[in-house]
Amino acid sequence: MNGKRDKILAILLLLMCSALSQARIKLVALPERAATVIRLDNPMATLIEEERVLTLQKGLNKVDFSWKGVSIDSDSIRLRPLDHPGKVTLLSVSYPPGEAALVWDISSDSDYAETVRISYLLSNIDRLITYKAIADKAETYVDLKSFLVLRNFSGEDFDRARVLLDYGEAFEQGIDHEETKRMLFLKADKVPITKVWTFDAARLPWDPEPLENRNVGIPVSYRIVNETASGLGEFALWGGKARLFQDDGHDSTIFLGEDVTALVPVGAKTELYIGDSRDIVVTQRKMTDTQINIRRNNKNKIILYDTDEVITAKIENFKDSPAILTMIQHIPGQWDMEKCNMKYKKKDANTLEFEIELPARMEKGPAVKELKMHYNRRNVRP
Amino acid sequence: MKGHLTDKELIEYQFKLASDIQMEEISGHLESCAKCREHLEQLKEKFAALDLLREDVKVSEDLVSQVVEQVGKPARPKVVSILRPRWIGAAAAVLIVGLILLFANLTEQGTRYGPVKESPTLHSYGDGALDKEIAKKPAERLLVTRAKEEKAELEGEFEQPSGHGVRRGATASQRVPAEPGPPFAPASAIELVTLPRRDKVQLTIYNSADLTLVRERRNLTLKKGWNWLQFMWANTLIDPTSLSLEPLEKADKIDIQQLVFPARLRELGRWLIRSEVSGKVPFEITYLTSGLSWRAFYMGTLSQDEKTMQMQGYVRVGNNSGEDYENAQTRLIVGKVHLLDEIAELARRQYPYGSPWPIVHDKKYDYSALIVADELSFKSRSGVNGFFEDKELRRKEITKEGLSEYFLYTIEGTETIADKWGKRLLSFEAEDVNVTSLYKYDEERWDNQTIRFVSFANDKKHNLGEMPIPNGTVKIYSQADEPVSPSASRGGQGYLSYVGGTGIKYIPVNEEVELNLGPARLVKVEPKLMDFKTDNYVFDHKGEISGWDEIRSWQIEITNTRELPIEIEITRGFDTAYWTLQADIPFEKHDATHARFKLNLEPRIERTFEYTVTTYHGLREEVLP
Repeated sequence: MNGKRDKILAILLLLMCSALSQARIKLVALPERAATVIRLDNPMATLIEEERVLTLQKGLNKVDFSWKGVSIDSDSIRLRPLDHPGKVTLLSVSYPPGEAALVWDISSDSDYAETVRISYLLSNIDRLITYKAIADKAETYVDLKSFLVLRNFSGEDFDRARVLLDYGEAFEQGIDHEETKRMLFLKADKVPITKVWTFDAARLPWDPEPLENRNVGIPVSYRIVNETASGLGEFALWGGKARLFQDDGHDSTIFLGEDVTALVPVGAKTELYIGDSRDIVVTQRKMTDTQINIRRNNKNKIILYDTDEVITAKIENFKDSPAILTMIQHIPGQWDMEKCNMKYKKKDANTLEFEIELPARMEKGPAVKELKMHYNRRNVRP
Repeated sequence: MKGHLTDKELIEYQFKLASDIQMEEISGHLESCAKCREHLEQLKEKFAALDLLREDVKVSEDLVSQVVEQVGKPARPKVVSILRPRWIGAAAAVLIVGLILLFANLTEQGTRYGPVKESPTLHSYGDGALDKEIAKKPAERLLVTRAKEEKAELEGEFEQPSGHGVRRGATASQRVPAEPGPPFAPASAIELVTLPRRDKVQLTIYNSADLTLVRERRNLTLKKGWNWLQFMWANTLIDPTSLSLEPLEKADKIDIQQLVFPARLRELGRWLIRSEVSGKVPFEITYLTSGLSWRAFYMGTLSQDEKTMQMQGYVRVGNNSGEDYENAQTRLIVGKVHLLDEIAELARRQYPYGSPWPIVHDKKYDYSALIVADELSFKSRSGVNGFFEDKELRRKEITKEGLSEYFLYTIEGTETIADKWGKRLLSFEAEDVNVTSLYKYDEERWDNQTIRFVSFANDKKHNLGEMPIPNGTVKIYSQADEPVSPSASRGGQGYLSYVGGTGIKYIPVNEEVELNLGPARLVKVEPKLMDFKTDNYVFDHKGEISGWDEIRSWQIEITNTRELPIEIEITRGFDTAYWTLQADIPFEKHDATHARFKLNLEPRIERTFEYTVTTYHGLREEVLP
């Protein structure tokens, strides 16, 4: 580690005599780096903590710490004596001109082989999290694996270091400059999933007919909840890329698709989009759209009115298995629902969410359900 | 005009000391007399050569003895008549000056050919020695004294120059000691060159401007009579207009008459000193320089429960002034200083006080080259790593005191701050500073991010409050949850986790400060508009809408996935000052258009609250009291 001069963070210990003899250099030593911790719990910065044994002599000692080719925030560098914290004191820090280095002035009341802990923020060393999930053929659960990808472009080699995220056990790992390592970090078998088809009326075409023989894909996702019932829930799952596979029933798998998940706190859910389904078809039309309760000004100009609107949506399931379609509808402004043939959940003032259970297709054709909403929008201004 | 011009006449002509009539006559003669023209040119060259101090004149011991002997003689009293014609004074002054110059010329020749020996009283340097010293210290100012001895004591009636202008003759009955006029800068005859060491130096560094007040004390060796003190500041960033020289002893006997910035010579000034005493005198030289700077920064370490914080304040002093400051008392000023000109700009001027007409900016230095040279020069002269040994074996105290609108930090003892070096010192350390962790959500400021804050007050209750805290950056760490190795928490020094960094403003004593630690990853706030309607329409006589209400129902969902309880402040804006609000939790009106909710959440919990806000528009605004 310390032998790779152009890459390493070198610590050079120059022990000079104390106050009385200025120019006499008593000892030059290159102490080995002992326990090193790479803490990756903050995505904005990586904190390195390393221990070194400094051979201090009674009096004033000067320790030269340089980091050529390494990007360290010099204001973040801390030195803490561990063995004799009251007797070994850091007096001041000096910064030589034009060098990535500093010199610690350390006073010691006796000769010590002092273990010190040096902390600093190091740039260009970070970690990614990736996921791999293999769903069973029935798509009821996934075997989930999470990988830690350690990337080191800091200019520094780490032979052995304890790596810490903001959760999980610390583990020992070495990583050289320009090296990338991927490590299995989490393994959870049989994590329950819910397969979700989502039709969002604000994002997808309503009527496939004018599309002239082009399919409208209904986005399909696996929903995973970060909770103990799922075999998870110990810590937040970091955001990262997830690749999803499915057991094909022939001792092999197919690749379903990939998505990026955001951070999933404990108790929260994530939905991983794997692709579009063309086996569920939605045909939505507005059947009524008229102005009612019209208010006019003295010049007979309309200044306020309500609307009377009816929307129908036919949902066809061509799959040979049942499915639950999440249908999202949007009604802008102020509105009152006059009549709706299906239950919905009001997600917010203008968003309605329907969970529509679709049976498997039948011999005579697809399973069909129809949503019909009759509502009035209120106090609309032209 | 008969014959050739004398040296005296030529000097008077050259320095425009002759009367108008004489000037015309001399000028006429010079036009027709090649020999006199040649003689004048020789004199000019001689004066110019004297201007270059690197051609310092070696002084013979005999000459020094002779001069000292003459200085020792008492000045003869003289009688000044109040009835004297005015022209007599002027003529006498001219005569005196002329004689001095003549003498100067003669003695110069004498010294050139005399034996070269060091002065027993002054640390003298010959040409070579001085050149070597200059070469050795390219970045250091050169301080040179030149003593100009009185060669003759003159009696007569003349107007006496002084530091405060022209002193008029006294009454007839007064007996005024005779004083010679000041020597001309280019014609200094006896040059005793010394390089007095800095005995003390004090730096007062400002952080709000590129400004440092340097106060140095040097023992100068003066001769009785006129002395030239030369001050050179090549390759530094000193503001020459700020140069000041004051004797610290015998001030009534030493008169600092003028500071001359000679023509065609750069980065050089000469003080003309009239001394009634000879020997060593302590002087204080003060000036402003740029290139030295300091800044404050802080490290905070939160306890595991995040209720207290250990806080360390540091000052980091940097020196890019081109000058090494060894064993300097270092003081740091917190406060805003009003400046008309930037010191760095004044330091770069070709002429210290500018010129009446615009001059194309002269590129004075190649700073890149300067840096290299300085590094080399410093490394070659100093100890290991450019440091001089610090004799203190304990951490230095930094005392703080208020002065006017400023706050002064004085670093105990002295510091050596070499050019291009920086130094970090602990300014203060406070244990167990009670802190409040607060999360904030305000869409108008941070969109949909929850921001984490740590707040504390700069007061005694928080183990602070002894002084204002200067602006700077702060890095916040927290004690890591669990040790990662058996040695992790040895000596009470557990492992750390980096929380975030931010800048802090200047914090006066007793003021509260909030540190913005950036977006919180594990605390989320999700506001949802659950219902919207309009109501209570009002129409005017034209049938147009002239007022209405908007009623919005919001649901705020807060998720704390941290292992610690949190306090969160949620600010909601309504874009109008006309609003009423009903909520299922308490709120406070923050200002005319905003309301604030504060909640405490247990670890790993999700909580929801709702409120309905009615905003009033048009004539409906009038329904509010």
